[in-house]
Amino acid sequence: MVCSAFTNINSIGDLLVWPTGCNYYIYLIVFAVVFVVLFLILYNRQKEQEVVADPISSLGVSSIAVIFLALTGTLIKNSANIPMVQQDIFLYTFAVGIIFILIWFFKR
Amino acid sequence: MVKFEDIFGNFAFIGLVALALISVIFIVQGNNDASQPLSDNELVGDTYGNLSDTIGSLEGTGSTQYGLFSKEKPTPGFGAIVMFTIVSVGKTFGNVIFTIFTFLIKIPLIVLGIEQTIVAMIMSFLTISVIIALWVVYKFGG
Repeated sequence: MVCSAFTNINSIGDLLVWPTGCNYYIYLIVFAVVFVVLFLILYNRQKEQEVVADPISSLGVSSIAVIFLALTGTLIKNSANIPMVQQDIFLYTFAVGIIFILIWFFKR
Repeated sequence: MVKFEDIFGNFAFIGLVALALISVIFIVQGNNDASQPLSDNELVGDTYGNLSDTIGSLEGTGSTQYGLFSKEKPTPGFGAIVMFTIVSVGKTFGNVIFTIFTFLIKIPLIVLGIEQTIVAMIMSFLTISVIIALWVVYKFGG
């Protein structure tokens, strides 16, 4: 894995897009981690409140949250007009999110 | 046993949620001048158009079916009242369920490369659920 030199970083956009040069799927990994953390937080909070916690609904809500996070990422771009989250990475996130939302509604 | 109106309600609602999600993505990316907007993707664009058409036509479909139902004269049957338009209502809205599912599963199927056999399995389960739910509607009226 070869990263591009840490130069020409003039804005936050440049800084956020820079890791994509090291690993194209970096933000997909970040979103996966955020998704798991969010799911665990929601699920554990639900366990404290209810008698039977529902992991599927926590997964569905986390999916929607991660889709919106990824959407925000598509709007941030560097000086070369490269977005922080590329279209295919966003599409992967969206497709996985749709699956969890489908399962959530199927269960209802 | 799952009721037909529950299955239909869930699918109509999930179709609406997916439509709203895609719509929000298109609007936010369009308003903020995204460099790689999702609207450029043919697959998502097609799904959005098809879902929009299907859900948009629900009002017309419902109105037509209600018209047919209200025009029918109930026939006294063996210990029941027979109304054949309920079969037409069931067929029409049963097809809507499959249409929405087909459009929704298209994105994960193509993007993630999910095996066709898994989709076929879900589809068969859905078909059986819909048939049983419809049979209950035909037989007992809901």
